[in-house]
Amino acid sequence: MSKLFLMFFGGRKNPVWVGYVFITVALIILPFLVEASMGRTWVRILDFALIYAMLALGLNIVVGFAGLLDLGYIAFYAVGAYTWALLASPQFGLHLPFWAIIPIGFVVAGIFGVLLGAPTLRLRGDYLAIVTLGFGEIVRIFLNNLDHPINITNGPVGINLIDPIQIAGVSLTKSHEILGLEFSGAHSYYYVLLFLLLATVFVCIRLENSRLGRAWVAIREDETAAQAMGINTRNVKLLAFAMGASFGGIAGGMFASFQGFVSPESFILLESIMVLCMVVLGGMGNIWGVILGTFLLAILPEVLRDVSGPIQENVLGRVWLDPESLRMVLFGLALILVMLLRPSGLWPKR
Amino acid sequence: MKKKIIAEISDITKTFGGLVALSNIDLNIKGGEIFGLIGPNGAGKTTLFNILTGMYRPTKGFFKLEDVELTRLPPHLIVKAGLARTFQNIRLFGTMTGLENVMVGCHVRTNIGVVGAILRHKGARQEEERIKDRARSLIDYVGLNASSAQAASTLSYGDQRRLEIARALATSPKVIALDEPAAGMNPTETSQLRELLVKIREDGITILLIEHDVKLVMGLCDTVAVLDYGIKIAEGTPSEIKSNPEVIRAYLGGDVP
Amino acid sequence: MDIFLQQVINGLVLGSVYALVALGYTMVYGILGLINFAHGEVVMVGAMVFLTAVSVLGGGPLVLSNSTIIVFAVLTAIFVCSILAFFIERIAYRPLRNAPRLAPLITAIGMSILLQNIAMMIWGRQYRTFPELFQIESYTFAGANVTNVQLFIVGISIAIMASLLAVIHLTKVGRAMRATAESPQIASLMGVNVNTVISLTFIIGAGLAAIAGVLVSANYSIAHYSMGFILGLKAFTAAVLGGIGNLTGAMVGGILLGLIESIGAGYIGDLTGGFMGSHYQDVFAFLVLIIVLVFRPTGIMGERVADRS
Ligand SMILES: Nc1ncnc2c1ncn2[C@@H]1O[C@H](COP(=O)(O)OP(=O)(O)OP(=O)(O)O)[C@@H](O)[C@H]1O
Ligand SMILES: [Mg+2]
Repeated sequence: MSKLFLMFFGGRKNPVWVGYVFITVALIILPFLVEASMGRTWVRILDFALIYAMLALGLNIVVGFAGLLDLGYIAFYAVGAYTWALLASPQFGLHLPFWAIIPIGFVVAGIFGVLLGAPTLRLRGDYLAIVTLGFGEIVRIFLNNLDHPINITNGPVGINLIDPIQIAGVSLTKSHEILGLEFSGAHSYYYVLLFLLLATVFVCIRLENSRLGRAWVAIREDETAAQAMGINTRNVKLLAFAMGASFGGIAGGMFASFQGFVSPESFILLESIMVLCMVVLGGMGNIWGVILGTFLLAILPEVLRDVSGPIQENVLGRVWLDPESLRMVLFGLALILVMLLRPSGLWPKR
Repeated sequence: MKKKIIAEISDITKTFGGLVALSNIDLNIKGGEIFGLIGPNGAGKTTLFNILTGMYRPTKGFFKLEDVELTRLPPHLIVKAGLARTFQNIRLFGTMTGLENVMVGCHVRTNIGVVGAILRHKGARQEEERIKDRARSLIDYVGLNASSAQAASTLSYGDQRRLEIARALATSPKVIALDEPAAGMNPTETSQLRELLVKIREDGITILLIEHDVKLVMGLCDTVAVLDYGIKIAEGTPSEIKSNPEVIRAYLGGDVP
Repeated sequence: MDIFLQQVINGLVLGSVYALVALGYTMVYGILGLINFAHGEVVMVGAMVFLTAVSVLGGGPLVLSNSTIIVFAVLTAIFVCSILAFFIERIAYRPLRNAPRLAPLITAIGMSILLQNIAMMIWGRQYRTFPELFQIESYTFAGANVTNVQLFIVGISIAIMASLLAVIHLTKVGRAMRATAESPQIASLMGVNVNTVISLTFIIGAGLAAIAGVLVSANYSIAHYSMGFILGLKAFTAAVLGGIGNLTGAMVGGILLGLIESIGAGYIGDLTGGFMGSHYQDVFAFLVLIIVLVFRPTGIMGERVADRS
């Protein structure tokens, strides 16, 4: 037994690929394990966690690497989601295929990143935070009101019947049976999202360990010294905004197609704050920490939702406190406690 | 031997509100020399550095490096043109390692962008290796005592000063401007620094040196200029400066007997 | 009716409340460099406690005059908010004073979520109406309407801000606060007890927030557990607009933001040829903020930070 263990985890002859195979298999069977043990809703929750992870990694480029506190990041998620919604729904009667929309969403969100980033270049610290927050709100207010004089976004109602991803004419949201296993829409999307997340992680790691990644960190550490070392801080910051926004845009597109509808409600300030919490709580600047933070914060409220009613019934005999607000109270407490105990996040860099 | 002028500073004036921090400064720095800039606290030495490196805009005047005017260019273009600096109060990138700090200095002489970074093709890998090698050799060159894998903020004071010089050298400058590199160093460290500066000069890099340690300046510099209240009160060889009555008055206060 | 004058009056009323709340943000920011995200919730708690106190006092065995009830209820609100803010600082911020910059921001967000939901448990989800404690009278003035409540809000705000400035600039406590804002290290070397000063800053800010909470709920005649967040956000925006860390700036920024919002809401339709309606009021406010900061990156009254290299 211990020999087997060693073979996997630490033996001298242990080839690295054994570990990779192990992780790959685990990731492939994960949705089925989750469904079997906790039900299909949890596969959906898992999918949303993957989308959030992509979003958080994008924000991590801006906040974690380059040190630019962005409180309006959800705007790029919104741009991505609405780009998908407008290009693949009855709203304008357009039904572009996913492989065309993904790059378009990437570019459109990136352009928004540059447009909204450019006016903030001279601002430092918390001034930047409040301006980005303002931009985030402006984007949401426009989405909410651009149903007249020309109807673009369909206003507060949002856009419905968004096309799912279709591969070779097969819709991913339908259930399929393959090799005797039932793949629901949540299962199929899991693999697409997992692939995109892994691609995001790959890109983030490559960027981090490059000339650009070092320039971002240099700006975060001391912008004046970074300039004095010949870094064109304007361009490098804009690049951080653009890269972060692009990832947010892809995540938003996936959100729109997975959920099938979008409305401005999904892009409120609290969502920006939530993603920021994922980044900081997990460990700003550390890719794995950010993913950990995302999964905790995406899953914790759901767990609390499930337990806060029943626990009261079992312990106190009846439900005294509204489970919905109790869940948020516990969530707030968790944020405070984690930060008090680990101020640099759960899994900080170095 | 007549040396060629590499940096020409002409009529540089800088005011902050009502305060005249520099008035009509003219300096000509010859290629390959160590040019000392001294003066009492608040004389305007650091302000001059900030103007040369593009951090501040001068109120008046211009600055040329090898006959190319650099006045009012943004800092990164000035570095690219060949002028690098260090800071009076050390400004390293604290959480980065010593090696990474120096690698950041190579930024301006390299050009791999997003695509190269992600694909990491052959050219990108080679460039990355080149940067790493250069950074390592510069760290040896300045004689860092501690490990270059340590976070910069954890290095000793003397090592931090040396690391700043290595980082500035990594930009491959023609002129390097050092703002009080010996401040806070003990005598051993100061004498190591002196050797380092001589070595840099031998390698053909011109040094512009602000320093309060008069002994160091007088022993090392080829030319020295003295600022007082934003005015250049003297310029010449160390021995000329030592006997200049204006300088003695500025430093000792009161009249020269 | 004169629309412009009317919007100016509404803007001044709104702006003076923003200014009171903005002062709390700016004082804390000046000393700790922290965005106290929970400050808006303190405003909400102030309003809620006031309303509860009014109903308890009004329905109690004692027969009290309305003005007595108001005074006692306001004092209760100030008291509760001060204690709340004291503990918020102690629990969520003080342990993190030397932590990475964003750590206290997250605890502040956690506090805000916590307080909002506790308030929802205590006071419920429904809107609470402001009781009829006084006769609302309306005066017409050069074609615009102004009520006694509005006059009272502006008057009280001005009086409070003037006294705050007096405290900060004329008393020993104020001097200690200014010294701490300048540099906590040097202040403590000069014998200032920095921790006490910080606690005091939170308490004063909370007192202002409690009064602001009472004033907004009087102005709109309602209160709700979620009213603090947006109000706090607006007030923080005002503080940044004025130049964060600067008391006069917070006041100027607050009034200005109030004016921009209400004048903007009144005219944005005409300005854009009917393309944008008053829904875009907030867009207008944020755009002004962004434009101001692009041209003056440290706000209207903020000092330019000398970056000494
Ligand atoms: N950003 C600024 N804003 C206003 N005044 C400034 C600024 N930078 C420098 N000064 C003023 O300009 C004058 C010259 O300062 P500078 O830092 O250049 O002196 P220095 O010669 O480097 O002195 P030291 O030997 O102490 O480093 C001082 O009076 C200083 O207060
Ligand atoms: Mg100086």
